[in-house]
Amino acid sequence: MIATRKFEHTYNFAFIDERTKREIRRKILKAIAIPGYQVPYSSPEMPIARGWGTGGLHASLSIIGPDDVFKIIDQGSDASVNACNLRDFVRRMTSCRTTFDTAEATLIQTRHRKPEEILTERQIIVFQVPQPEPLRSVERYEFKTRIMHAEADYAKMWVALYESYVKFGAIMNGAGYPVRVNGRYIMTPSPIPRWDVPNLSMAPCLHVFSAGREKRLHCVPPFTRVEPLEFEDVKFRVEEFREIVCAASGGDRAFMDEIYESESTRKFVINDSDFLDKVRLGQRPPQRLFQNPV
Amino acid sequence: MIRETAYHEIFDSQRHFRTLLDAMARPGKIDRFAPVAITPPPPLTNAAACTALALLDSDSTFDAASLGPDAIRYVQVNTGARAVPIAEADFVFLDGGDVASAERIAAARAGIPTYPETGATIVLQVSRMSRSSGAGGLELTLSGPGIETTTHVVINGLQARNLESLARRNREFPLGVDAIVTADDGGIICLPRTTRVSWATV
Amino acid sequence: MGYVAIKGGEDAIAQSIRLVEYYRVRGRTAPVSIGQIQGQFRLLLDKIMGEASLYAPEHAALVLKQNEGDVFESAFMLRAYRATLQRRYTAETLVTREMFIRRRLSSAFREIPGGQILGPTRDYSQRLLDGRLATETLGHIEDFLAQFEAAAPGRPTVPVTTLPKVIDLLQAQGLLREVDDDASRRVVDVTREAVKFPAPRSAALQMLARAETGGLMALAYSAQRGFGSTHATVGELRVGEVPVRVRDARGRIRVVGRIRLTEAEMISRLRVQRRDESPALSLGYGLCFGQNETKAIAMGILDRAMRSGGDAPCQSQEFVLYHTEGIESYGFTNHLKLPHYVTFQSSLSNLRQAIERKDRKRGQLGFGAAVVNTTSSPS
Repeated sequence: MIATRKFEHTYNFAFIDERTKREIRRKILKAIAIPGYQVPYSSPEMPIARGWGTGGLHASLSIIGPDDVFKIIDQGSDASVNACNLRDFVRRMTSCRTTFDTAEATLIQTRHRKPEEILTERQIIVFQVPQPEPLRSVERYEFKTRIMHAEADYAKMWVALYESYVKFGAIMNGAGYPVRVNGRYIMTPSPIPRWDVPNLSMAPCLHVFSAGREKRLHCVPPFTRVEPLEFEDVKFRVEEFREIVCAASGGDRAFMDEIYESESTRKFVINDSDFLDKVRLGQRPPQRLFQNPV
Repeated sequence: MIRETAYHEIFDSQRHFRTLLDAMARPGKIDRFAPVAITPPPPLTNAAACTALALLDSDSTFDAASLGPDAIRYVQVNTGARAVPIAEADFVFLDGGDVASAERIAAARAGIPTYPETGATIVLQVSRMSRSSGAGGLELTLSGPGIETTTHVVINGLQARNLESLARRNREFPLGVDAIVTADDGGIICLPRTTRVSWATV
Repeated sequence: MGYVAIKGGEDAIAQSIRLVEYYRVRGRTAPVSIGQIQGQFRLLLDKIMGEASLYAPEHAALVLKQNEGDVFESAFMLRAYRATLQRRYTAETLVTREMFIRRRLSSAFREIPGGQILGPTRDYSQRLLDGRLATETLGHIEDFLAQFEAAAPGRPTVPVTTLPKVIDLLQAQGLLREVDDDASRRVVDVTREAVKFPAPRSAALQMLARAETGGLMALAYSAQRGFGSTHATVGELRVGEVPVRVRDARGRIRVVGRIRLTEAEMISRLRVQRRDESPALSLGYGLCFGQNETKAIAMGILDRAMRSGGDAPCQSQEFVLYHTEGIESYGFTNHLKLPHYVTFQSSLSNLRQAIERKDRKRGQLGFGAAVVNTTSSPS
């Protein structure tokens, strides 16, 4: 007979053991020192499936302390079921306070968005990254992409962008638009929409990007240049929501979700759930908006 | 040799890591470790010891030969890290006031082009740092990632030769070393390899 | 304050967890005990333990029960549990020469020193349904065991000893050569540091030992069907128990237990690179938890294939190691169920603009006009 005691288990603060946290911390510091470069890290298994935010959790749980206020969003929303599950996990493992209020959070984990509201110097944002290698679409082998990054040899990437332009009249990369960080490394900003890409550049907050399954993490420090790849005559553009207002708040100038209530009725709602709440209350927070070139 | 007991492995190291994280993300910003009752053997300072306790463990290697056997022993006992020759060390502890440190910086690992993060972290001990005052010190002007335009910091107990050596080691980005500068009074600033540093005597 | 849907998300999760628990027990049958699973699903647990890389039969049985028999989920859960365990010791290198052998075969030789031992296997059984098991009772089991034990010889007449290895024969004759000397010989632990490519053999073997059996089999099969060069022969396959030793604080080496392992040594011809080189045989190695012969053999084939150089999928370390990692591929495949409407909106916006541009261009070039002209009456 097995005593049930055998299966009892207590967990460390923030779940991950201290030795692994320390390793991840060392790697985060190096990632800050080499902006946009992908640092390999151990990436221990988590009780969350690979591809569901394990990398984000590694970074968040290595950073978090008892005084932090934690916010987590998925597709811009605090309400997304996976965000709910991860929030519950972080709360159980740290007893930290959690919030939906972007301004109140000290540590924000996100999948596929950077909040509309400008993040400040006292905030750290952790992005869940499915595929950290921006060159994967042009070179499938890691040992080759490593060399390309080392030599800043991005010719294949430029050719791919040019081909996209020739075929479609524009660079067709949607979310995860490739960027150059501090004039050196080409990096994927995780699949955030182009709308959010300009907000990575010269921002007051620290950005940590972590890909658990691929075991790589990279950073964009505060006040660091992040430039979307573009040609002199084919400029980077964000998604356009021309003449569109939010059906829930009447607000505009924000990334919108396209919602179908039936086959024929389409409406738009502001994607960032906390931003939407604030717009509805008439407390629209400060934003940094990008103007598409004419 | 004292084994530190007042240091909380989970919570002190987390707080101190956050201090380091903020300092590394904002080069030149003077941060300060939350106080903790540890007694590192001189010349190893409190702030340098806090850095070691927060970041080192048996998976990492270090060199503290220039600070003497007591410092080496202290770091070994309290972190489990292995003391190795400087060219193999992940962390190198040096005295910023000693001109001999310049050669040691030149000998520290700078990483390889495909894995530049294997460049060493230099923990450089100085006596004092402040935003403005500090006669007899060096005024550093810093720019680069993490700094909006430029920033200034005045450091006492730091030889210009060591800064020169640091700049030379970081000439071939992404190769290079990253410095954590710790002061006797608990202040720290970071100089990652991306930071451009110029200086003048004040 | 707060977005109304938030409560909905948390409630939905709670309800869904209750519902799936209901599905687990709604048949109202007697609960399966951990002991029963351990006793009667031996091979399944071996597979789960191998992929979880944690030798813990009771815990494997528990997760299997908890997940209604989903093997991927169980291996994943057990591996996640493993990551929370403290590592008190590092085992000394296992010596499979010391194996207490339950089963052993070589297909390279008709007879081998120590003999071929068929042992417990269904290899030579006829795969017909056994209807009697549908009404099996404990009584039947007792009867069978009584008969079996009565028929079994009592104490062994010869002392049980370890057996020499088949590869020793080849090695003694100088027929076996290593493909490459792994310069570093450093033992890398991929759970402590991320794998870097090209990966040292220790890391590659560790990843193969943790890989998903089906994935390994598919790639190993491709290697034998022409996507790769090897046609391997089983030099030796052995299944049995091996002692695990650790060094205690005082430096004494102690046996802490025995674990069941399957080991495969696959022989294939070494491709000669230079003209002055003499031909030789080389070895591919497989070792995994429990009795999982498919896995050990596939691992042996792939270990060899990855070091042979060539363009086939099985000859690329990155291809083999990344894509046979069951826990990761399972997680990522299922992550597609997560909402992706932000990224989808982004590409939709691009697509609409591209279509608009094409339409405009067509208009300018006069294609549209030409169509109108031909269908309208000529004037």
